[in-house]
Amino acid sequence: MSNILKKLRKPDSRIRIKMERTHYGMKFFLPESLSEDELLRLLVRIPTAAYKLPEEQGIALDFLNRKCSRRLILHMINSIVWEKGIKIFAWLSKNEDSLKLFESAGLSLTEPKKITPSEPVLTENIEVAEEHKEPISALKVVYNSMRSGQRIESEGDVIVWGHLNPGAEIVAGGSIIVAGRLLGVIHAGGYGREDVFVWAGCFETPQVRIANKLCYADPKTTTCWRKSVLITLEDGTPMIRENKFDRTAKEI
Amino acid sequence: MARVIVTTSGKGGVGKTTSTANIAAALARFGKKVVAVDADVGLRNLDVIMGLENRVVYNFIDVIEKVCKLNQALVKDKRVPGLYLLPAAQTRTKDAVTPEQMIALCEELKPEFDFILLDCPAGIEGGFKNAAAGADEALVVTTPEIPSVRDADRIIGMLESMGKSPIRLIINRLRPNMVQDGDMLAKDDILDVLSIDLIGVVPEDENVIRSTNNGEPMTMSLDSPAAQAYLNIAERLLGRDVPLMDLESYATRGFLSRLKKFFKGKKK
Repeated sequence: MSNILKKLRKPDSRIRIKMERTHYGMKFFLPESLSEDELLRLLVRIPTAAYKLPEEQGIALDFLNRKCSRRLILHMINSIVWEKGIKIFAWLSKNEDSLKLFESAGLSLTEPKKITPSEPVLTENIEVAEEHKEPISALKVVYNSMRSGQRIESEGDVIVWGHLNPGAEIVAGGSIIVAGRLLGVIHAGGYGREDVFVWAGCFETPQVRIANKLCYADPKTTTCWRKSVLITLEDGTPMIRENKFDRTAKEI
Repeated sequence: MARVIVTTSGKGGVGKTTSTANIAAALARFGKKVVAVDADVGLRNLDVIMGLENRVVYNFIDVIEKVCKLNQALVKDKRVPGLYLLPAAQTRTKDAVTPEQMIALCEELKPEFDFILLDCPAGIEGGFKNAAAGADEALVVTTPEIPSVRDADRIIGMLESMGKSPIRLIINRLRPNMVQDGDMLAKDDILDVLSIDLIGVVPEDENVIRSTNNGEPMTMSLDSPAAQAYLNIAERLLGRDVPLMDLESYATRGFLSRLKKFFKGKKK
């Protein structure tokens, strides 16, 4: 009877699988507080589409301090890895027994290395690429509003001295300033730079892309909606700040 | 020489053809010689809205392909002097005409008329480009809905890049009651995004459906708010300074007439 009740019991909805973006794809931190069955149920419930990553990317599973059983590994391979067609790059754990189990099963225990430009193999390629690169124009200024369907792509910074209407798009390697109403789509740091910002005279867009972050804004809950804002990345987290000093200056 | 004006919108179903027919009829009422050209090849409707579908023999593709002469393809509206229709082919596709042929057709029409109104198909592809190629000016029709405004914005951008000027806006099917309740985009909200000159606001009016089905442009009889709005647009096209209609009073009148109708119903 107690076994049946245990099976029927839903996992605590507050406990979630933490997912982290990595250079090779995603890293899943699997909570230890859940039983093996609960953990399997939680993993199965994640829609298959959520596991889909670009072809060269994959997932690392971190079991933290959990002591994994052979049954859990078998079920995970059967009902999740094979069933959903996921590419697992690494099986990670801090527990010695779990690591031994992974090793005996022939599973990879290390995360893929981050390939940095400083590595000799790639440096050559980058130098070759730079030879062919056109000089980066530091700033592009548009002295009118951008209409639906119009698009700007620039490796440097972009200023729109007007509105960015719905359906218009800017992708900039650097920062973006829209002096008027920001209603269209913008992507600052479009080539991966994180030291960029977005400044909008009137923030009215439901989506902002900055570096490799995609942020959504709900007009009903965003306090900065239709206000002058600055959006930056701070420790990888997008931050939006309303311009309040303007008002203070006028009051003075 | 005629002024060539394209009526366009981007989005379908916003009232391009209705606007073309009514403005053409209104301009003819003011004594101008007007031709309404249906540039929507393959999906022609202007002939039906103008009530001239039974009199169509040739179309402008026949003129371009030299199957007939221009005068043979033109259909004269006997109800209003000076009003003509140049229909589109229903059995052909939009590829049957090129922008160069459209420009040549408009050049041929220009000496004969005061106004040439081109009814453009929906979309931004070949059909739009053909219709816009022959025009000098543009009337962009939008309804007070976000998708329609966004498409109008796209079309305005394309017309600007083609060098058309002036580009003027018609806001069609506005419901003052809904605007007052905050359920519909207001005139100023639309102008704020589109940033072009407004030439007229046409209120939502059930007479539009009636006139479309009867094949008689409203501006021929003038007994509805929409007819008055189209007449005002025609006057503004002629350079006259006509103030915008007070649509709020129409909203009130709508309510009062509904109330009147209600009591009339009770009497019976």
